[in-house]
Amino acid sequence: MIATSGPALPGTAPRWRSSAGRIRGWIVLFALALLVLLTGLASLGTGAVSLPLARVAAIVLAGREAVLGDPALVRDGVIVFDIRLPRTLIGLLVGATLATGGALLQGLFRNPLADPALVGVSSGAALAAAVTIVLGHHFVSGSGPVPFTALPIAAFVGGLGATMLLYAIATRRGRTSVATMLLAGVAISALAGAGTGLLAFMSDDRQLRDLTFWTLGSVAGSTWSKFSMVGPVLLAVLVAAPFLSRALNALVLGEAEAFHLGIAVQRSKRLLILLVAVGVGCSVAVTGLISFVGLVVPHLIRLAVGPDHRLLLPASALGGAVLLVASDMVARVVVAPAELPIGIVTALIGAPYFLWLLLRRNTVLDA
Amino acid sequence: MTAPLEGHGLTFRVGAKTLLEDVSLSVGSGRLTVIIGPNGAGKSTLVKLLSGETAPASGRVLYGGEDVRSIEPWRLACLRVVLPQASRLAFPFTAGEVVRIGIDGIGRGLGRRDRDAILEEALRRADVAHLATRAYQSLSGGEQQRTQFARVLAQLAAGRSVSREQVLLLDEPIASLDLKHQIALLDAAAEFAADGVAVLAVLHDLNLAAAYADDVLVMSRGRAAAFGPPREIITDSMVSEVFDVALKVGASPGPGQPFLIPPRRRTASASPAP
Repeated sequence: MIATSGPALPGTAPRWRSSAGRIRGWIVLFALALLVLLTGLASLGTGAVSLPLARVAAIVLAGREAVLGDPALVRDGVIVFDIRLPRTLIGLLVGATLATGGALLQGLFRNPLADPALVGVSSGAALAAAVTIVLGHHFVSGSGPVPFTALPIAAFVGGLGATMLLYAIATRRGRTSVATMLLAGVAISALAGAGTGLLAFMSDDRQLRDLTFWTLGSVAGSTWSKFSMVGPVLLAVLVAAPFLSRALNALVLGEAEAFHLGIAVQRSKRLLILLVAVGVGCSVAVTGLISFVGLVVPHLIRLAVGPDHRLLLPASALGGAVLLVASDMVARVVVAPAELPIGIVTALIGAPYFLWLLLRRNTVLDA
Repeated sequence: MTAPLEGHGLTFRVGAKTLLEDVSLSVGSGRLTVIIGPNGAGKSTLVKLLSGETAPASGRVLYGGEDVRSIEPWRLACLRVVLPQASRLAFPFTAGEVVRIGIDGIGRGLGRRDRDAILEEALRRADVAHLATRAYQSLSGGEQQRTQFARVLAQLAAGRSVSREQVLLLDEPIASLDLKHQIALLDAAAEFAADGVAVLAVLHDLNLAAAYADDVLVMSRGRAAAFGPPREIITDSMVSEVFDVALKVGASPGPGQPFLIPPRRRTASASPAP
């Protein structure tokens, strides 16, 4: 039937803005939140000593003091509270931040193929972290190891530098070329990787061990002190990101269009870059290079709830938390009692997915 | 009284090349002004300067007497609405969502019901209500253009809650539309003008310019060559000087509306037998 420009028929409720869509969004968010909780509990029970979910839940609910005072629970209590809880919390936060960072970068570049690790942001952060590990003792007084506080700051500066360099290279007169972006990302990653390799060559045994951990990615070194340092920052990034939803939605139409719609485009872009650099920098500082979380998660979420950033950002954060902690559980279990670096697990999941995306949309570089 | 939109002595250069030189114009409330001119005359550049998107090398753009650069982005978005030349999207938004982006955050004191009503009306007037659930990327060029027009209609309606002295800028709005939708879009623009909106449109079709314009601005080599009502502006000499085309301008009986018809160049005997 041919639609005409006559008045809409009374009673034809437009489906696209149906409250069904909104309800579906809330259901997805709720389901993801539930999944985060379950994955978190499962992660607390997984490892060299396996604990059933019920026991984990009982320990967590009882609280640290009560558990440590109870001889029947003290061993499991120490495992849950002092070893696995900081690791799980850091995993959740880093996963959420990486996925959010991916969604933000994809919005900024207006392309679904952007990922902090893929386009060199994480490598830049890792290089700066490596510089700090290997050469840091030249800059601080005394001869002890570099204080951990220096790492997130260095990683943030490295991530910011890489993001700004990438954006400057890939954007000409307000248009970001995706091909240029991906290729520049490859070059930046290679350059940062070479720098990190050079530092590895110069480093002593202890530094080398630290560096290897960084380049492969791992949440195994998580401690409460690391958590208390980067946790609040990552949380702040996660809370701030959704405030950019409207700007990101408008940017999808184009930068000029976003300006026409009342968005302060330059300020929004700077804020986006800052959030990504802070979030990814701090994530890299505690867990090293973990790739593909930022690529896979927002893409899956878009398939489920659509591209509206108001829903995409919080849903990606929850999805990223689930994916990273689940990957960490796999990393702990497959070669037990040893552990795989988690970066290997996420790359094994993410890289084939990325290839599949490329095969499915062979025009993606022309966008 | 100040006009809703004024440009004074607008000049714009890229490198050593001057794309626009000393162009001034004023679009009054309720006027529909059409910019015509050959390719590369500076029409789109002028629209970009007027919208505030690009800053001129010299000259000023005023909205209701206020310099465009001193108006906060959110308020500017309520005062002036721009329909760009066709654009592509990277993410699979539906047509309805694209229109919705046009009203999110625009205007003051609008509840969800108000916005839904604005949205519905805009979709209906741009004749895209039946496309609302379709992915924007899957639409034809003309359908995408109509969706963008619906977004513009929605922004205009939402912006009314802040200012009634509004400006609508249309850059080649009908380039990819069929005849029916060309007329429907220009009718809608004329209705807005009748409602007090200052409308400025870039058009290539001189016949449609003659049919809809209150005033015509002729751009030629980066300068404003002529300005006035179509009957006085669209003449044999202007068409030959500015467009470099030797065509006789006719006048319709009655209102004397100017029109151009390219004469048939091939004789009947030159065409193959049916």
